Amino acid sequence: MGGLKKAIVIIGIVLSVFPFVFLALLSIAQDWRFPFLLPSYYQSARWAGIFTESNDLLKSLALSFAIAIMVAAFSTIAGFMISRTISLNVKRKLLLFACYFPLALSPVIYSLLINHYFILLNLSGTITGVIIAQLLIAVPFSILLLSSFWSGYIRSLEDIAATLGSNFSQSFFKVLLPVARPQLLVCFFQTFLISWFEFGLTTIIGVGKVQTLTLKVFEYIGEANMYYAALSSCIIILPPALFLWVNKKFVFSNLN
Amino acid sequence: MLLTVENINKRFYAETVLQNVGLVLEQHRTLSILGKSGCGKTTLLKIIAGLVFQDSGNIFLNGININSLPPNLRRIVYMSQEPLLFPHLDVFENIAYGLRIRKEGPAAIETKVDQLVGKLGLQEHKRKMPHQLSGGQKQRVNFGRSLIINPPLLLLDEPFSNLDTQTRREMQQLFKEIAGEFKITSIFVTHDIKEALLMCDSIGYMKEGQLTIYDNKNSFISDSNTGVQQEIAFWQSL
Repeated sequence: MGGLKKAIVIIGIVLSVFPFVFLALLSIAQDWRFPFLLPSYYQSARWAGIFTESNDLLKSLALSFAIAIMVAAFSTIAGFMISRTISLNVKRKLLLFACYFPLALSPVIYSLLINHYFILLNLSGTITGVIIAQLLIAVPFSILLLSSFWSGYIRSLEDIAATLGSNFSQSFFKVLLPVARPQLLVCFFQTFLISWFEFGLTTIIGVGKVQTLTLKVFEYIGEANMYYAALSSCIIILPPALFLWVNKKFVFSNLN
Repeated sequence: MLLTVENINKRFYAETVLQNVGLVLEQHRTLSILGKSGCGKTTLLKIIAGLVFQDSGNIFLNGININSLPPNLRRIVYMSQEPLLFPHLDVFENIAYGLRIRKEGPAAIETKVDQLVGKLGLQEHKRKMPHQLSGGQKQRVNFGRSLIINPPLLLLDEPFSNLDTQTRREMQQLFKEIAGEFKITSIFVTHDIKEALLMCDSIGYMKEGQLTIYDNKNSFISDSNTGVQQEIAFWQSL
């Protein structure tokens, strides 16, 4: 039984790690053809090329990071405030149900539906437009994620704080925000990932002018340039992995 | 008179929760209100604290009508059944909360909190987080957090109901001592007859949203509605 358990764990680890190892190998492979198990030659020039002026992968990385940070920060704050307002509303079930609609649609279909208005507002093909479009998905997601925070217990904590003399802003900053910190961090991270890997909305609203890293990956795949697709995939994984590690190491460990 | 409550009415949709409730409370006195669950005790306390608004009626604190005053300006502290300590703050910071939001100086906060921590027997637990405390210790911290701002009126909503018998007895004793020392004016709500009698200077009974205040303990005991007679009969039959 112990051996089987160990084998399942090892298989699980191999299956989890394999795609990352494969991508890393592909990104440095010079020539890798069937039936060879490993590449025939390796090269570092592709990675070094990222830092050359002609390569715009770093620009895409910076752009993706900036968009994702803005989307995550705004949607987390907005989600926190809106979910609180909804929790106090008598029609909260209906309002929460409405939040599922943007998430239920395919991003491509959704962006086609809203694209007309983005063109009218001159937001099509702009970074602002892409951020707003992504927020249309990220904010409802945050509301749904954070709505469970506003329980009777939290309401009671607010009441206690009020009778002890706190006004709304004191209750908000000294009680609600610190108590909600773990949920807010999870929400920030999740919405960061939504934005980071977003493709459909960014493609249609950005009309190819807003070149995020995810779009770059698909561009390389479209060109059948597997080595550069692997390279950009490696880069795309790095910030979320770093984020996850920072969260685990410095943020969540302090909450225990 | 410190507190005067006049003809308070409250309905939640079709249900009448409070019906013409009135009471008066003198300074440094404790009024116990006995009543079964769902009779409207908590709603009455929350209305006095400003956490729920009455449909009609008036509340006067020191002769001033406080109907439209928000809870943070009433200075009436509501203590719920659960201690509800702030989970992100340790014992010291929980007790200091009311002083911090009033922007008192660090030295004054340190002195006041330390004194109260000593009185409540919490010296060893000063830097513990709420989840590291027992039910009785949490309720002591809850007392400390409420008392430190010296509120004119304390509203206690079955504060000991979740404690075991021994701890409950200790807490009742502690409350009596503290109430005397700090000259607390309070309304103590409970569904326990003994506790109601033990804690009070005056006593009332609430049933289906209607409150009866008794002139003295004897008239409360002799009223067949309060359940005291049935309790006495039970113990005598053993």
